[in-house]
Amino acid sequence: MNFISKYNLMRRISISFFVILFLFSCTHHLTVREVNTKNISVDAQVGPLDSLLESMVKPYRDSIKNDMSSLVAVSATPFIKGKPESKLTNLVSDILLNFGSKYCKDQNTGFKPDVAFVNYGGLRASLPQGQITVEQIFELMPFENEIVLIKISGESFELMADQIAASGGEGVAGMKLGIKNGKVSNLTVGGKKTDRTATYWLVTNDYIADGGDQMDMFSNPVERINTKMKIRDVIIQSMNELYKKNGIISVIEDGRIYNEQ
Amino acid sequence: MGEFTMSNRRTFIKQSIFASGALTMGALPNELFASGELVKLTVLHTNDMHCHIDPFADSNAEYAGRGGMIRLASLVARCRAENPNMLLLDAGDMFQGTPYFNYFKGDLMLKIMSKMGYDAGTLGNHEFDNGLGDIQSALKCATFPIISSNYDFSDTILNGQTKTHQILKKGGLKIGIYGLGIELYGLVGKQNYAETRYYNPLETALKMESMLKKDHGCDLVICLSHLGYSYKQNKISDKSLAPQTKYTDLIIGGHTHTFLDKPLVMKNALGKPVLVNQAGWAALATGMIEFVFDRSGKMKNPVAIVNNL
Repeated sequence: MNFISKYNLMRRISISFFVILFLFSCTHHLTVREVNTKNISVDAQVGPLDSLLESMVKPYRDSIKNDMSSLVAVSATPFIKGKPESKLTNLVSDILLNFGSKYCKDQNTGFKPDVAFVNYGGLRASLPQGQITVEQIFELMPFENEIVLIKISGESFELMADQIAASGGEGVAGMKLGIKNGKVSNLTVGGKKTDRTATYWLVTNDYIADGGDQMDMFSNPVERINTKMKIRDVIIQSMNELYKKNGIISVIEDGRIYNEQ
Repeated sequence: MGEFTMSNRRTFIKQSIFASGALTMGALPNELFASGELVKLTVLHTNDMHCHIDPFADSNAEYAGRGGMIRLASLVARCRAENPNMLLLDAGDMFQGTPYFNYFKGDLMLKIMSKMGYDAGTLGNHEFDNGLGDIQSALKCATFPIISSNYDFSDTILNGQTKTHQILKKGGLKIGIYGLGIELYGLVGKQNYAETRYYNPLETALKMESMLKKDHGCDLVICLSHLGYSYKQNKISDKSLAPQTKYTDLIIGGHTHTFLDKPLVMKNALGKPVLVNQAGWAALATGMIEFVFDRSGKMKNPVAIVNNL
């Protein structure tokens, strides 16, 4: 063994055996006299998969596999998120607003939601072109968050617009927002200028409605309705219905949020 | 303290398990164990497993084919066969991270951990993701205690279903365990932790360790912590807690998903050593710590230091 390989061997052994001598001056019955430690990487080298555990997990895995691979829709293009608007943020925001409208009709609430807000950071993955499976919707929306409707003042609505403008764009539907130098340059809801004295119904998720992502303006709404419907389930259901009805799904960027020079 | 790199992780495995042909690290003469003068306790520990039951997919850019509880379980079984006095412990964030959680909640995770023979665990922040009701349901699937010393569930539906501490006995040794959770306010939605009261982790630690060591005469005191390894900002962590403790021998950490080459050895408030360790996440690593106790109490110096050098 030459010097270098001997040195390497010693170095490697010294990493693997980390021995600490503890001499606890101990008034109790037992004394720790030595401590050996190592942190082990769990990879193929630690051995095969545990067969007992594997047989226990297999039925669960198989049942998920079927669900995960089931087809939700087929898309004409990839849906990738971006700012100020994007196909992905528009798709999910439109789904929320449509769901809100349908929910209000079914529940006879006597109103129709004006806008939808989807936090950009909450969309965790893009959707591919072609076949979209349930698994990909789980990757897009792993959270168990539920859709809520909140009634907010015109003032809160404008504060929300300010924050969207400052962040460069978020997911919205039912409104149009122009941004200039990080500030709101144009704001309309349903084609009309916003009114500070009016109120607006917004569809969003419970995380945001609870003031998450610094959306403090939503914390004390005039009214709140918890739909108890998970966003992920609604996305899966809506996209699947859309696909069955209209075929391949395409989404456009329609300038709902735009930058002004 | 360097982070694990791929290459030295591999070195670990080759050298410490396969080259030596065993999972045991014993360095002291066998006759002392045989005569009962020395007794060995092996602690295996995990954290932040996040429902990574299966190894990562081969298509995964970072961790292809690695980690996962099913693989970890074979290592645990071998280690237990070679070390009769073994403890398997977890430092929280068992929940959330794969569709297994979306589908089967925490129930499946705790069933699997029970099957693997976990001796104790604690609560991370992600255990609260779907509220206290789901923790309650999952706890019914666990055959081992969940220990939480600084979350007070008295006014919640979890009342009486977790333990503030636990004393485990192995090979005539008394091992005292307490658990510290991270502040939930701002991290978890209020409705998901409801009326859970939060107690200061340091004050709780000092109370628990003293009770376990002095009142109960534990031979070893272990803290299961989900506070995080260390922070730049002034926030309590395992690293800031350790030097303020007096009787805690080992802090098993989590939350920050920190890979360590080896545990950090710090000095506690009495100048005695305290170990701080963490094992990454997703069952990508496990910590293995072996304590050798002297039953006779006579020997002032170690009989042998054998570390193959």
